[in-house]
Amino acid sequence: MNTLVLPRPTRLPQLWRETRAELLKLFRTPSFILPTIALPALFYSLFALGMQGSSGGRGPTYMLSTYIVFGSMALGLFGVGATLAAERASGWFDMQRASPLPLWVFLCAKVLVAVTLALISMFLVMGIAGSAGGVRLHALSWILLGGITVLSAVPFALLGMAIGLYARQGGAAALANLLFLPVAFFSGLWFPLQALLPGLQHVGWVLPAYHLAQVALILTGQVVPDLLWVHLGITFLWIAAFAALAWFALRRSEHGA
Amino acid sequence: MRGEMEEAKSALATPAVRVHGASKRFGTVQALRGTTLEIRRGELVALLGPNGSGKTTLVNAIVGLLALDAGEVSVFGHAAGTQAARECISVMLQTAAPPEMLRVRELIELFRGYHHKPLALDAVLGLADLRALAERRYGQLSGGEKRRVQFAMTVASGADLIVLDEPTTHMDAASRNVFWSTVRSWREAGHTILLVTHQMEEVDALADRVLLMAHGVVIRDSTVDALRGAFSLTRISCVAAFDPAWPLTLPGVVSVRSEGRKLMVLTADRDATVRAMLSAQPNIAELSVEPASLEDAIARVLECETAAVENVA
Repeated sequence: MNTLVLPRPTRLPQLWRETRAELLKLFRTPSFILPTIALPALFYSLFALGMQGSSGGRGPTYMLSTYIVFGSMALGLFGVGATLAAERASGWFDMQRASPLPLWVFLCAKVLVAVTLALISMFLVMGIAGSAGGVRLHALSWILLGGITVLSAVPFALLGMAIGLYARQGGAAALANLLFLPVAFFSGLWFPLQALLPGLQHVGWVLPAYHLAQVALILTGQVVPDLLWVHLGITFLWIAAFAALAWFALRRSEHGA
Repeated sequence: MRGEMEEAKSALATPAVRVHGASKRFGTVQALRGTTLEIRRGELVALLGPNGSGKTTLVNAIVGLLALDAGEVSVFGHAAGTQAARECISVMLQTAAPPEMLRVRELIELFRGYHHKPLALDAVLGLADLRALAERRYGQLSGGEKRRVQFAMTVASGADLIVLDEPTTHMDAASRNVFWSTVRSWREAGHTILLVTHQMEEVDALADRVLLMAHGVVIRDSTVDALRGAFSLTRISCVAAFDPAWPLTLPGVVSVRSEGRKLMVLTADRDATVRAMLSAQPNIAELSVEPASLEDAIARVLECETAAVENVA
């Protein structure tokens, strides 16, 4: 058994190769991924720039903060969830599972891809905000918004993973949409929560996207920073909850057919 | 020193695959019923059986894709599905498709990167006759070419145990020949190979040993020759106007089955059966007499087995 003394392939290059393959795959299917990447910028152009007159110029900055969270959510849920469900249907997921590649590397690559795509989506929104939207922020705020994009992509990539591992191919996209639209609405990602009926303005407190959006709004000076740590704390609780959900979905998929 | 020697010896004695009492149920279907088998190092074993006999479930358990309800599976002494076990195996699944958008070269490179002693890329492309297709996207290939790519991804691993689940479906005759000679050279290089197949000529061409599965258990474990020889049957086929049940009354006949207008008679006593048939039915046409194929032998084993199960019940 002298095979055992041979060095094993190291994980970091494997993670890089997996991530690159995943990105190649997605960008060679532009009809799937480009609309998802461009959607936040498109919505931002319509809603934020369209609302500029009525909200005294605060609209573009407010919505810059919320639409990048929106983009991260979309790419986490659909970029991971829909592709994973499709790969379970095609058998690619089984090929990976039977291979010596640790499954965490495969799944981690998916999260990295979601983060990368969310950053691309963010740059599009930022580009429109900084030019046509006339948004002016401190350099540090722009950078911190990048941090929020990454932080937002992680919980939704984990939730997307749970959905992709749990649902069937068509069901995954439907389930993701079912969560995606109301969560975006009640978290104030499309327009300020003040526009909702008073009774509906606080539904967002139970949703992760609300807290991420509040952190982004604090960073851009749209909301007072009193509750920053509360919002961050609840965000991390959601990340832990979605990680647990993904883990259970993974265990379940190992015992299935 | 002595300890190490003994350790090395016991490592060699460890079989490549050991399955003990494996059971798995899917809803109301009992796919595996406590089956047991062993594959020694360096063997080329064919796993045969009708559809629904549990072959693919067994393969999935061996490669670690499936947790059993009961029983144990180990690969080179490691529990199936563990990292150590997966590092020893490379599997070509029956119904698995790599992403359409990746190129042939990219797919092979990806899988080479999973193993610690992979084959060189160029060698793999040569083995599977894929040099001309290396830059093509997987989705652009024909069915047979896709199977060759999957085969290339499997052998690129250089793994000790290669599991091939119905590898030659969709392959044309030329591809199949390339495939067979590659599998043979792999065996000569000391790899252990488990081949799941429907094709008797493939078993005839490649296997040392045949495991025959039915109703979720391995019901027969023998060499290819022994399986055929154990029955040493002759197949008589003809076009005839008589009642298909009639040949069963003749000496030596074990079974009769009709295929279109043809009647296939399996017999253990060729001369007596042929003589009896011809003397009673002078109008018999298109008579042919040949040694029973492996397929006939297996069908016969399964028949006996089913009859035995029914008698017990």
